Amino acid sequence: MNAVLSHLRPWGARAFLALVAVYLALPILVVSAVSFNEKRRLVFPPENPTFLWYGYFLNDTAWMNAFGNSLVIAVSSAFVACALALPIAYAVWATNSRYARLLSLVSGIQFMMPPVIIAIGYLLFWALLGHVGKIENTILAHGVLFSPMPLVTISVGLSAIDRSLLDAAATMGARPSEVFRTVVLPLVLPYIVAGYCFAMVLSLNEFIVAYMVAGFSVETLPVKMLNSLRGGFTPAMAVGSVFFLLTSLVVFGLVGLFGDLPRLLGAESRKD
Amino acid sequence: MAIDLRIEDVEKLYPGGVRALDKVSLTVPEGALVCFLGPSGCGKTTLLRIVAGLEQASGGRVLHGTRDISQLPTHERGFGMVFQSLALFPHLSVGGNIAYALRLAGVDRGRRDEKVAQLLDLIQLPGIADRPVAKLSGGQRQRVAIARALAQEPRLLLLDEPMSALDAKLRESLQVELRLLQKRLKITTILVTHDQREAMTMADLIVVMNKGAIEQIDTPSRIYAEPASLFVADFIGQTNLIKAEARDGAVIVEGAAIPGVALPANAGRDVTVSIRPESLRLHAATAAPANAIRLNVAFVRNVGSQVEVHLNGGDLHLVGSCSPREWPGFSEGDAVAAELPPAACRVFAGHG
Amino acid sequence: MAEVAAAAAPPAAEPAKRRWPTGLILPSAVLWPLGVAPLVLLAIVSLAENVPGGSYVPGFEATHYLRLLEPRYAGVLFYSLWLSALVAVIAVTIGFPFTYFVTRQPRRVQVLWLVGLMTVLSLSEVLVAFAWQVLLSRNIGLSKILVVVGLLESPISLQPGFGAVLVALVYLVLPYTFLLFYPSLSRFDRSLTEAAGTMGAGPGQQFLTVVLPVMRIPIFGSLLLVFVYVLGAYVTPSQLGSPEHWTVSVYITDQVFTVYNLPFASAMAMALMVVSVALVLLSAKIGESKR
Repeated sequence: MNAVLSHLRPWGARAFLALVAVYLALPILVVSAVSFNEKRRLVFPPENPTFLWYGYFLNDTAWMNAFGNSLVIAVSSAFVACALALPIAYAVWATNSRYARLLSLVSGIQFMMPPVIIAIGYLLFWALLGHVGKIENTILAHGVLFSPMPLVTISVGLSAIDRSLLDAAATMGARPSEVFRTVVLPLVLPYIVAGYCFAMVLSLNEFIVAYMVAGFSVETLPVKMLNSLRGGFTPAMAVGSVFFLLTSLVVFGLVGLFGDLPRLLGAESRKD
Repeated sequence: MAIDLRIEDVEKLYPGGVRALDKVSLTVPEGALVCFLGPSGCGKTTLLRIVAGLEQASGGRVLHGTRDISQLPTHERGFGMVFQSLALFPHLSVGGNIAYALRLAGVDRGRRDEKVAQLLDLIQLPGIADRPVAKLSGGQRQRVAIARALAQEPRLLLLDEPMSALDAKLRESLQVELRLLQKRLKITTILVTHDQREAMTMADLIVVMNKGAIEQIDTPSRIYAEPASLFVADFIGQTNLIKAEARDGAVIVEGAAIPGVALPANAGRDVTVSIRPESLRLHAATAAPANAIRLNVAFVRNVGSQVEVHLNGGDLHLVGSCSPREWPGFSEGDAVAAELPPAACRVFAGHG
Repeated sequence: MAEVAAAAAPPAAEPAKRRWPTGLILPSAVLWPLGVAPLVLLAIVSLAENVPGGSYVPGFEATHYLRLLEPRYAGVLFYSLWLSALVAVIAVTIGFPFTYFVTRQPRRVQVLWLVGLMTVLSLSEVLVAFAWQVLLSRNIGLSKILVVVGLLESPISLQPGFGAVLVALVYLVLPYTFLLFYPSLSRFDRSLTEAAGTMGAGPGQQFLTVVLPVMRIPIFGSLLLVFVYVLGAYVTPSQLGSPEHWTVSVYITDQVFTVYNLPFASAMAMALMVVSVALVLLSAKIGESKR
């Protein structure tokens, strides 16, 4: 082992990275490719590549309805997640209050256990309240479930703020609320946006909670995909996958382009 | 009546019993520049932050004129402050930083821009209002921070080691510039620093602090010439501390008696003599006066503006200095005699 | 966005601490009922009496927990734990050197990797399962390639099966292991490996004798977290495996939607929760002991 690794020159590392890249990309590429199939049966490589199924997807009410549900849920639940995370992260940072840390733990617990547990909890909860199958159930569930994402990004952003900026603002006559509005918020805004993006993409892709909370009446794209998967493959599912892929790629691409993605994920600040 | 800043019996206790400030009292006269000087951890920054309202004192009070401001929140004190990190807002331009206090106070845009231009002229950086602060050099950032602190026309200017991030040359020239500006504006100023050269350059009064208490409050020249304690003598400038004995009104150093030295009232048998390197008088061993100490030259350092000589003799290690023109030209290993002029000796009780 | 933030902002406060609870009203009002109450309810229902047809009567009976000890369900739980452990070990074995090599890349290249990995990480489990189903099916993908290469005589379906479940689960968690290792590896002090280099260690030896030992605690912590993540996989084992490859998450869902036994499903979920939370806390403990 040792001897083998000793010979691992940069090309060895590169080959290893390339292999992992192929492993990660292969399923995605194949799915994207079969979305161009002409016939209902999936063939690879596709014969007579066509956008036929894209048209089908975009004109099918069931698929578009699922797509719309997913979008509404993702956009609003990410909003809920940020609204929960910002005050908690700020309180922990500004005052290190015990109660705020407890709340951040409650938020973090959602990420600590298999989502199927959370899903059943919600199923029982809404059934008990007699408020079943509503879209707001899913929105709130995803908002809580993914609140750790903005909590983490906002905390990262806050920790980068030099606290003497707050003192400086106070010496220039800023009340605490004005300090928050004129100094903290502008500096932490990019991190709020990044947290929003993460929460949104995760909500878009989440399956089991959406399925159990309101899956029968509010079909999201993943739920609809699994439901049709049980009836066999169709290129429409591949088209749906491509939509997912593009959304994630665009969102993270934008975060990577305009934000400091390495730092958001825990690397040290860029040195320049 | 002058609006002085009075600090009365201010204490600061941290949980766990750490006493950062121990009943500190002093007055900052209106228009003066007072410097809190001391090693790190002496409480000087804590005291400044209490004056700014950024920290609460555990006891005592702070008076501005006749008004007790101890309970007044920072944002209502109207004191300008320059921070060690400068604390320029990275999301605002130079102009945005300087106009920050004015915008909060509801000053309209035209007057704000006018004031910003005026302050930029004052710090000799006209026309950079639109520049982002990240694009400024260290010296420019420094000046902008000062302009920002002056924008609200503060009744008191607080400077917390504002020049520690600059290189030595720039620091020295900015010290002079800032002092001239302060004199011109006649603005009451407190400067916190651990750099005694900075304190000597800028201050009307220096407050030497150690372990949460004040050691001495005096003008720079008196602090240097007449240190009130062993700590001040050692901390300010370079000095030789020599363990000695007090006997019959004279001080005995290494067997040499120095008569006519002023002894402190509380002096017992053990005393410590402090003498500045430039006050030592060196003679060739052959021409030694009666009350001189015999030593050998261990090392000579000629840095151009002055010559420094290190002397060893038994357990004693002394440093002398003089200008190159007065240098008698000893070399390493030479036997010499060091004379301690009584008027230049400060004697403190105990062996430190 | 900005409006929400302002609304959620802490109110002006002289002593900031005293006035804080007002700023935390919204998160409190949402997190306690929605973050905690469902889990409490889960515990209550797990002790309730089952009413066939998807209902329950509150009670205090241990029947559902005792049923977990029956060989059939104990076997499922044991299989789930074993599968999760296997996937965790494979994923970490690939993921650790992978992350190490990525962190050695220039920052720009790293951003590309991060965008790709975040995209794969965020992909719905449904989509991942579907993609692998397609890739492993008879008419499409891998087996065709294997025929062309000559390893297979005629295309076969590689799923459902244990191998398919394994490959897809590793795929699912690999980006996750990356995310866990990335902070510590990207902050890894390069002068350590450089020092080893001056003492004659090649890149491989540097990795084995310096990086691995220094990182052993994050590695163990990550193993546990990946383990918990795999325990929660539902779609992958149910779509790519035969019933004998089903994990406890699949059985829980099955109890809810096919058998309609909510108390038993809750009891299984509780067991899963205890195992998960214990392991997460253990990994947090290990992470702390490092400091």
